[in-house]
Amino acid sequence: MNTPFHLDDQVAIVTGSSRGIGRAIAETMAALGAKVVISSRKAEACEAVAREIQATGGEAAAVACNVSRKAEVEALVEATLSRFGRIDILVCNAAINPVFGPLRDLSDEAFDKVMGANVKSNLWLCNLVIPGMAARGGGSVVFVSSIAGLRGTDVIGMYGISKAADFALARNLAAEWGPHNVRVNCIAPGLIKTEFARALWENEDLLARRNAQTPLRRIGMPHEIGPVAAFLASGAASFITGQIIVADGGITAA
Amino acid sequence: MDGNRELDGRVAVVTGAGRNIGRAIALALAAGGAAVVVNSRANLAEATAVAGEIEAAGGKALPVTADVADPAAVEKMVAAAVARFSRIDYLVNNAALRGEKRLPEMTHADWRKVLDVILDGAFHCVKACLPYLQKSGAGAIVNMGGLSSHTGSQHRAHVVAAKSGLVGLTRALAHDLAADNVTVNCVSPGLVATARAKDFVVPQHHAVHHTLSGRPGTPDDIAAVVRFLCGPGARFITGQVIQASGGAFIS
Repeated sequence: MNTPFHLDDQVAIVTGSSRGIGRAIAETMAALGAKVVISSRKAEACEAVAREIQATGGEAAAVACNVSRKAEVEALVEATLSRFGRIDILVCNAAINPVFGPLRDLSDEAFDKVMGANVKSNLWLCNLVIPGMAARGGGSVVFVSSIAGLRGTDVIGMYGISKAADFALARNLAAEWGPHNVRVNCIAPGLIKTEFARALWENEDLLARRNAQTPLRRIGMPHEIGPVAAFLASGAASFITGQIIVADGGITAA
Repeated sequence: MDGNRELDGRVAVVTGAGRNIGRAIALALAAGGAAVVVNSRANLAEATAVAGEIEAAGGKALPVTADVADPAAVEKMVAAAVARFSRIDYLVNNAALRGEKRLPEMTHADWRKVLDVILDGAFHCVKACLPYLQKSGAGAIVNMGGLSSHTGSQHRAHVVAAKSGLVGLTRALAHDLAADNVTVNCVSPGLVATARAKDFVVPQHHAVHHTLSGRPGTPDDIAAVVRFLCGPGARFITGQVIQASGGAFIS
């Protein structure tokens, strides 16, 4: 494809891509020419998405991985390299948000579990993948973070803490790897209509209030985040690194 | 983002498009399929050359000289754009002056001259394009900011204030135009290798802030970001400042 957005023959790992935002990212990247590795905890769900991408003429493979388990993360990278030979794009999208409630009730176990799944796993993946990108002349890493990392809430504080840590992780990796042409950026989506965020949008009163606070007067759809990730991965974003791209209908600008 | 010409049928006005980043933006939007109004303050030859490049590649373009600091000239430009292309979907406020002056010597006239182009010019262009952007259904305004509005810089009080004003204008208009489905964002380029005047003095913030790769960006690096923000892939992004600085500024 002759556009700055094309991803022809690029190999992309997208974690948490059997549904929601991750799936939309994988589908967008595949449509732009990338070979995508679909990954989530359940092999069957990954295979179904990979098959759908293949059915539309895209190239995709499925590798199940629980990103909280280091051995599975290593296996994901190894499987990708043995299948496609290299990794050009890494999208760290898998995340958990198991706690809904005040921080004073948060257990130490829950703190460690969220930081492990949402932050430490991203560092594992980056340390496994980025050196190879650097050796081949460059690459792009995208963390799917959240506007919950930019401002406080009274119900998903732990998630917000982990997502803010992802911003710092991206900035520091950008500074470390920029000289090797590896770019590391974050997307901070606002509220998107996914299963993951169902608790935040299924209540009609909450949704109406949310819409009223958002300049675009609506919450987002997964297909509105896929192109943002694809943009950051592409040559069109060749001068962008260490940044947070907010895609939230304007609610944090409000 | 689908296919190669995601801006087909759309019309863009790009101010300060005769050279450097503005020229690259005009070419990039044209490559995406948009017809482009190529504005230059006074250099018709440059604007015509850029329009010629677009047409040679099979695109549509209209070169127009207009000083964006002059609201009557901006009205005339927009009228010419609509007479030719019947609509306006995108406005890229790129025209700027970047003088350097020590504060003791900076007169109010110096200050006004810079703000007239960068900030008032953007306002005039928004006002003139507004009815057409509102009718677009998928309109976009992209204001071109700058690294120094985030870092500060010596001898540029007027430029830094004007570019920071554009960030405020971006956030305000995001609210005003959201109901019309017009997104408003700001692209903040960092150190970009462009053709400079012979007497160009390297600004202090260029000397202090370096890209992580050590290489400056290219106008095409910046233009691709503008093309993305205008296109269908960025409809949920509004009120934002996108730093395209090679990591020279990480907020």
